[in-house]
Amino acid sequence: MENIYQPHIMIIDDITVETPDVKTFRLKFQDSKLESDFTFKAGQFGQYSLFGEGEATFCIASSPTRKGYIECTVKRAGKVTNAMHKLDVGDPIGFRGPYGNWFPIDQLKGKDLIFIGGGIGLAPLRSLIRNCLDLREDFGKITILYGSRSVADLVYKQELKEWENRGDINLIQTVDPGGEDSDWKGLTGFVPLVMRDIYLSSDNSVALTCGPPIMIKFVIQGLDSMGFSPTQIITTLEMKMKCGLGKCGRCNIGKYYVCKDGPVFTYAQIYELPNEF
Amino acid sequence: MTKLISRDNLKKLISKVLTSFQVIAPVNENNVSFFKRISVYEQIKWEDNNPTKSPKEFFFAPSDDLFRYQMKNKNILLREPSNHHDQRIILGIRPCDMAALNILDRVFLEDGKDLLYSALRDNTLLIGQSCRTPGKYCFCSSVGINPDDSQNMDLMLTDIEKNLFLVKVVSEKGEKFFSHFSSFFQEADATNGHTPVQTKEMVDYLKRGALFNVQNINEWLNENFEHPIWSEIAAKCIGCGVCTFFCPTCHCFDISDENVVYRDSSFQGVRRRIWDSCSFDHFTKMPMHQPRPTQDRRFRQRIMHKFKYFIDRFQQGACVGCGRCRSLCPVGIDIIEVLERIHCLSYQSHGVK
Repeated sequence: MENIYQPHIMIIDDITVETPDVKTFRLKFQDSKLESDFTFKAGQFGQYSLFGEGEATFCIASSPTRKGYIECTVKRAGKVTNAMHKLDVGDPIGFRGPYGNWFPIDQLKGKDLIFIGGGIGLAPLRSLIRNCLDLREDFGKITILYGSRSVADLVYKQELKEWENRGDINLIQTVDPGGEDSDWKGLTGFVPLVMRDIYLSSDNSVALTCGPPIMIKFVIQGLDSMGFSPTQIITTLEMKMKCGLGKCGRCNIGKYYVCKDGPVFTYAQIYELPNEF
Repeated sequence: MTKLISRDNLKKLISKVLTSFQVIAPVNENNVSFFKRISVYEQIKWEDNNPTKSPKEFFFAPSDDLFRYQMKNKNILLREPSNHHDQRIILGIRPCDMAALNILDRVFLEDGKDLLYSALRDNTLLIGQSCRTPGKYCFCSSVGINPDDSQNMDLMLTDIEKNLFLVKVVSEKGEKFFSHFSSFFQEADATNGHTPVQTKEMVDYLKRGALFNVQNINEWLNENFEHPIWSEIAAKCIGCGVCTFFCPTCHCFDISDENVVYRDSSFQGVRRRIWDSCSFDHFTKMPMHQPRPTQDRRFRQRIMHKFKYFIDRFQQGACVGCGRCRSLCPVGIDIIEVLERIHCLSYQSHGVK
């Protein structure tokens, strides 16, 4: 039987420098059988191993519709992520997963989708955005509101350009006041404030948001005032995790283990939780 | 099936099984009682009360190897840990610690089996021991556990006279063991007074009834989650984690690597599962965010997890009333007192009994 704590070996296939402290790693399984058997859904996450440093938790930022690899977007912050930023293409890395639940993509079909992301919080949304774009006709209008501290801190710059050029997405980009540079053509202002100036209809819509807790807090207030019900707002929670399997106890909030019952929650679920996330 | 065994024969039996099993039994060293692997019967210390340390660590050790890794020239080799498990007997486990083990079973065996834990459970025969005298801090009866409950044991000993134990053969595994060593046992005869008589202390303990209402407790906790009383209750807590480490049901852990690096920068090491505690600041601390930044919140998490969240998840609480946290807390925080205070709040607000 399988040792649930033992990762699979993956090889770094590509590295994209997103911002001064964020990189995206594209990983491929060393074992071709594992590669062909591996499936996941947008919203799920994994435990990534740097042998000798430890493990860290990141969402899978690539889309399940693009097979043969997974991507994770990593901000340099602690021991594991610092070591990860020093890796090169061809280096091995451990991976356990996919873990957790996923965005309810079947229930999103036929709906207008509003993605609201802040900073590196775009990573889990990007998995779903790409998933939806690959099945574009299954969904209604797609609006993406994305903001970061500064122009330099925007992640997936190449992809943002592609999205901008598509005619079937309404992409609104903004940076915090003071974060713009001379070439900046997007908006300036905090995401929740920018959101107020855009007309977002709650009718047949679902809002999906991820970003810093303070942004989410005000985004929720905004959505609430626009008539979105808690079941129409979906987010993914970040909690410290170790096992990813509902055993180590670390990500427990209220009756949920974020690693098993989450990380994707509707606001109807989150309102029932103690305020400890 | 109920049998008898004399103390002499028990000694002979254990001495015999010591040649083919690891035997883990209660000992007392430097005035601390705990479970330890013994090499001779004489090391066993039969005491009235449950040892200070539960046998939890024999299934879920303070540090367990998960796997080994070796890295050379960008190649990684992973190997299973060299955990070799002899057949073991744990002698003298009490009903509360047995109930605790069943709680750990739910965490480690359900929904993604932990192979190490599972192997250790499978190769261990549990010979329980009834509690004849309650300990000063015990409250097992408040959480629905009987001091002589043989449930989930393999065999159960109850001392009925100074030198005589009643032996209940409970499980299939216990039956196998018994039939292999049946010559050490004799027939029990209830008409011959071979029934345990409760001590006066135990009669009083059981008569005292529950110290709190375990049925309603998760509701009281829920409605008083934001109450300022938590900071008052936990003001003394120094976050040492003793309550969690000695708790037979606490199972939170960290995962950590330990390395040996060689001169050619190749390295090898081991990934370990290590006891952790929700009382510690680092437990939930992330680089940019700490959801439980103060000790009172961490203290509340421990209580909530035992008496509310675990019930929500597994339909049973995660406290077995062993009383170790009450007796060992260095600043005298008493879980019964905590629950009573929360109960009082609910009572004051809408008369819940």
